[in-house]
Amino acid sequence: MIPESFMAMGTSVSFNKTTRNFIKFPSEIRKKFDVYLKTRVKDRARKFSYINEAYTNSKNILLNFDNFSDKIFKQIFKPKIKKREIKKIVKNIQNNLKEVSEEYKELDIWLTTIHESFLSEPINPIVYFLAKKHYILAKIAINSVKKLSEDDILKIVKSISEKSLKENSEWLIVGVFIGLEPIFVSSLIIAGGRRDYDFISSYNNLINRYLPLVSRNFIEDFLKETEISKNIYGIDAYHKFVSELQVDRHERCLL
Amino acid sequence: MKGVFYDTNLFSYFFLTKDFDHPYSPTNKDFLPYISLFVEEEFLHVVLKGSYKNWGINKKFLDIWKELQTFLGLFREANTSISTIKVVLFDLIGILNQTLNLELLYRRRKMPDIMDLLHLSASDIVECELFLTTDKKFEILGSQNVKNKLMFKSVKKILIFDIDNPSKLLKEVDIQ
Repeated sequence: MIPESFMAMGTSVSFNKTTRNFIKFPSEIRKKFDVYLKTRVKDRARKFSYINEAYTNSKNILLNFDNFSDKIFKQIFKPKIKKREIKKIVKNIQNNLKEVSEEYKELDIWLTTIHESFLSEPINPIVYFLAKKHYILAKIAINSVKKLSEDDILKIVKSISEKSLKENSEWLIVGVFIGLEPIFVSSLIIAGGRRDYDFISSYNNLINRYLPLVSRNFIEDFLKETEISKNIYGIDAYHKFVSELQVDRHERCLL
Repeated sequence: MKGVFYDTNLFSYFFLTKDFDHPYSPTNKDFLPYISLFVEEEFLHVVLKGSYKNWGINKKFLDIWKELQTFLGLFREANTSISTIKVVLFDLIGILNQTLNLELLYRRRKMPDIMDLLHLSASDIVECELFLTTDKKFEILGSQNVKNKLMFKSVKKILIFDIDNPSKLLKEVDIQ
């Protein structure tokens, strides 16, 4: 059931015609930083309104995420799909996944550029951290779906029933959330620039809700992806940390 | 899944040593590990003082901060409002003051640190069953007269680990 929910990533592209444009966003937003300098006036105006529209839309989605995800996954996963439709759906999912994973390659480069410059640029570090976390989520999800063959996907789509949807509704929402990654991350960067703390904190809440859920269930993938187990400082570092914390707390008591 | 709350020392133990074979490691799939903003703040404060360079770590603050943030992906942050924490913490201090001579005990350092009480309050709000700490003084909450007064919503046990060697469990304190 879990990879099945991640397939929402593949299908999310088709839930709304305009989203197809949104999915292309990371590269557009990447240009936003020098858009004012490099592009012509006409182009700039068009791009700006484009970016603005995506930002307003994703803010609306973010603030009413529960309602939105409920609607979306009902659209994506309809129980009792006709046989004719199944093949079409499988093809759609596979094509969309290809597109999405190519976007992620680009996003990877994009994130590293931010990371090197984010302290000199006025980007809020939490924006970077959130983007990175969402990106890790998406990578884990894409890899888990990619392992499936066409037959596996066919089986999963066939087995969708109203009961299975109800039982796994939380996972389906996770799938929708991950699928929205390119739109959300792009808008998050803008929110950071605009100091839109409402946006950033609601985003933080969603990541806080879904990241532990995925990292718990894909613990090996998560550790591998983040290389957490590589950075071992040892028990001596811990002892020094503890003694410093004690001194620090003592100082606070004296204040 | 059982919610498990890590205090600052235990959180930093797992961050610094990556002891994932520990039975209460944050990678254990049976638990849902929690920390709060205050734990993160205490950790960052020590790191920000720059003293980690004396620990044999040759890195910039930014690198450690980034590692910390990815490590936090294993945890859920106790998402509570400051005002709720304040209500629960003051309730706790009030009850302890009723049963014990709080001022005297605090001055003689026989009471848990106020920051640890704050962590405990946060863990109760987010419905964790277990509270992991290295603070031995939490034993005091297990005594019968205190336990009878305490009104914890969800925390059932406080697990006290050896501060020098957190792989060793010293005591389980039932508080319900």
